[in-house]
Amino acid sequence: MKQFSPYEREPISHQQTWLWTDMAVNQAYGVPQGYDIFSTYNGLVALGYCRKYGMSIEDFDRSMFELCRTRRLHGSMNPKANIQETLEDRAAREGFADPYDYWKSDKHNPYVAWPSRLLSLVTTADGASAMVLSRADRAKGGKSEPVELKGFGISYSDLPWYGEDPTRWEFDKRAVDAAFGMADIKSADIDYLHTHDCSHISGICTAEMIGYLDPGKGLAAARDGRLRFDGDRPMSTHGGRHAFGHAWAASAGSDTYEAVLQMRGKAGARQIPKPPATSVIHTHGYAMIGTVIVLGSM
Amino acid sequence: MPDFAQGPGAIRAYYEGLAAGRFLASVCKSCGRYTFPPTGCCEHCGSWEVETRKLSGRATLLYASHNITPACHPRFEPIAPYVYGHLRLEEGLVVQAIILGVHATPHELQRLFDRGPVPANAEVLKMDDLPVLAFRVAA
Repeated sequence: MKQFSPYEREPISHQQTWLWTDMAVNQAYGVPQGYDIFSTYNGLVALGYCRKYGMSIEDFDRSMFELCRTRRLHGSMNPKANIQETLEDRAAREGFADPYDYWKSDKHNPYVAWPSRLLSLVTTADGASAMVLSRADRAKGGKSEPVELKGFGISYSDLPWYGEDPTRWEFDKRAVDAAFGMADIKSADIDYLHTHDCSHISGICTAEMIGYLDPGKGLAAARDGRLRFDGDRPMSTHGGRHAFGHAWAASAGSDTYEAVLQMRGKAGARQIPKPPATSVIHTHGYAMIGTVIVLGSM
Repeated sequence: MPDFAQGPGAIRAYYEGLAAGRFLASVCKSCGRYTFPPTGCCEHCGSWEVETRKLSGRATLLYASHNITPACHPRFEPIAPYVYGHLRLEEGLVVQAIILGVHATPHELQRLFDRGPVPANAEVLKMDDLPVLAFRVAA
């Protein structure tokens, strides 16, 4: 930006963006040695998941398609989402009778880190978010219904983010345990969950680690539509990092905003039928930081 | 030359070792565990009492995916898209690195996945500006 006018913005190349943002990873050994977020966050996690649970790559691909359908359905119901077109509509617009043929098309949905494809990933967005925190006794009587911040946790890790098992991220587990301990909740108490989902498979692994989804059954739950706003395990009802979009530092705020909308019963067409009393929001900050907050109705 | 692990130059010493074909880690004198790539402080127990140890370079490749084009770093443009893997070293450490001996195509990566964990050996990839740790799998 030259003089802060949007008309004077200078676009940055994909490579320059990574050079700058990867400053937050590991400049001594990670980036100079070929580190790549697409394989570490997506492809390797996917392969770890498939081997651990005996899932074929073909089944994995189909499951990622179904998960993307759900996220884009949510995006289509959210006037603030980056992508408001369902996957089915997009496929039809591109001339595909069967949306799964569109999904498997190298031209429209190439592998970015086999077996993970482009449409299982984040879409970037500009955005900002803000929230008001207050003492409990001053929160009531305002214009909108308050929710309680019941607990939080934060934990960090350097590369590699996981040990032999790419589906198990210890630092995330520690952040979750800290937040749940402070809030005095168990996974069975969660009514709505957001996990950081700029990689769809990583977000599912986190949900399984939290205990919201059964280990190895998260993708089956996605295929059965259970992660939809009207399913019994709703997740990312704003559309997630893929359909709602990802504005990096602003995203944790927008994920929290969605959870609060749902708890207030004000999420419009995508409202979870029974507004959640307990919501958990998990996000990642680059390189890698796991943060978890627990919100409860007051 | 003093042991790099006791001075501020762990990163330089690591890269100089790599250029000469040596794969260096630090080992903690308190808890006995490895830190790789090496730092002056044990990543497990926080002790500053660490010493240098050479790694065998023998590893098991657990999973292999690939990166994108253009590469995230201009240094790797000539070899992108390259295969990027998740490995367990003979010494028990988990490492991620560029994989040689297999092409970044769905067909070859599927075949590798179906073979299950496979042996791999450390090799130095000589880039224009920097030596890079890579691992080669047998065909």
